[in-house]
Amino acid sequence: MLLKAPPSWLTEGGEESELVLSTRIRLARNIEGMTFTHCAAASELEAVRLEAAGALENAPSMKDSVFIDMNDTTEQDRMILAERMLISHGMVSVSTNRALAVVTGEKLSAMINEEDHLRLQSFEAGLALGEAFERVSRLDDELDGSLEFAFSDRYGYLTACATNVGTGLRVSAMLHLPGLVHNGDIRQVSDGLRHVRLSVRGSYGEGSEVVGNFFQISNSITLGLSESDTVKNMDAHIRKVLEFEKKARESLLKEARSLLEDRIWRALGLLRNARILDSREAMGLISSVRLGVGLGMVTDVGLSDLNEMLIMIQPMHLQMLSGKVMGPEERDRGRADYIRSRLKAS
Amino acid sequence: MKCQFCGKEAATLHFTNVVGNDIQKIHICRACAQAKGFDSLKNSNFEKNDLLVGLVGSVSQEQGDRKRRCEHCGRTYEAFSKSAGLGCSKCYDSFGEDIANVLKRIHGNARHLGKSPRRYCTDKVNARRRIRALEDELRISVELENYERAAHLRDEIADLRKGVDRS
Repeated sequence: MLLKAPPSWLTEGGEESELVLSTRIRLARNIEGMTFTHCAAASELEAVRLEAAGALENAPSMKDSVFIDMNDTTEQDRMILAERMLISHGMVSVSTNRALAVVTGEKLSAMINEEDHLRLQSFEAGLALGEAFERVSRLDDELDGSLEFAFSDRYGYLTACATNVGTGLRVSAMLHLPGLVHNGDIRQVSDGLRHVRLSVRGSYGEGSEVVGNFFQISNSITLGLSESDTVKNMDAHIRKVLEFEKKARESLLKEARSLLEDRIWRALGLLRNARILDSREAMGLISSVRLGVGLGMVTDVGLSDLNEMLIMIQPMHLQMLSGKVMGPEERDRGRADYIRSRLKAS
Repeated sequence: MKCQFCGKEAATLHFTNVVGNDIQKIHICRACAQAKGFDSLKNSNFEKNDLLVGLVGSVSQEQGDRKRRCEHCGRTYEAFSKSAGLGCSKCYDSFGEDIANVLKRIHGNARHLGKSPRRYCTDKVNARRRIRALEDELRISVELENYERAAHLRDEIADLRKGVDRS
């Protein structure tokens, strides 16, 4: 059903791409006079779906987009969309009257009848908060002409959950921080970020553990702070974290160069030769090689190849590539096969 | 220590979570953690919902009347305090100052300072918003004992107020 190509925001590079995989921004919006999704009757959900779909169709930003009615999808289709972060995991299980509109390249999308009636989402490669915000805000302005959004002068955009009210804005960046994990400072950095009310979560794992040293940082305050200040603050805090990560990498190189080299080259050796890889191990190895590319040690593998692998080695993507349903063991073999062939080609 | 959620099993998992200025310690048994999806990042609604319930609940207990209903959608304050979800946009008015208190605890603030739909972008609304922003800045200037800046801000606010009152 969907493009077999990886999303463009994952492979384009972008500013600070050695440390930042991607930027993601979303706006939560609801239609005035309509009950919020989790309380709405089917007829109301359908009305929201039709109204929102019509508005999206007329929005210039959505010109080259595909509209996917979740009623017409299988659970497998939806799992693919969730692995690409285009829909929430909640939408995988509840699909009635849910929909997604996504622009080619997947930098801009809109979920209909998720927790809020509309969730507008923008992705960028690397660190590009301003750019991603501009894009999603433009779509918001375009929709404002045809939809009446629930809004109050006092509380701003009204959302189904009190945590999103105000701007409805969530700014996130996915960072790769092996240096800070290695020297143990990640704890202190996370505490510091939480102190300034940013949330830090591990990412890309199948479980709750942080796998592959990938961390998602996002804002949690949406009320009492303007969009531009939210973006500015986040940008400053993220750059601070990147500075710490760069210093950690420098001292790693100075103090343990040969150990580090050994770890990176072993990881690449395993990725190039292993026949069975579970996702946890694969992510750890990709993380090490990614560090090697960032430090200039590994030159024949590109960051974009590694970023692409992170998406494609997920369970449903592997099954999509092979065109068949695979059990866990078969997937582990498929994952190793995919990575070997991907590294041979690069 | 017993699990905070079922009150029966021993709490084997312990978390510290920060929502706004509030630091909450969570002690939970494995079964409850699994039931709430806390063992999997993919559906960890735990953090948001259960911590919010703590915040909402403690405010509503101070305020009493949990049976209040939103006139528009019928959602009770009690349901809001259990799930942290509002039923419709009118709930924000229906639950009055209790909502403002909850929002203050979550966000540290209960006043919107961002963009707004075009229908709200009248000069008067923009001026009011500007006044609010200047008032916040004035408060900070006074705290920092920057009286020169404070005097300047006070005059600017007074001018804007005159304009809003006239229109």
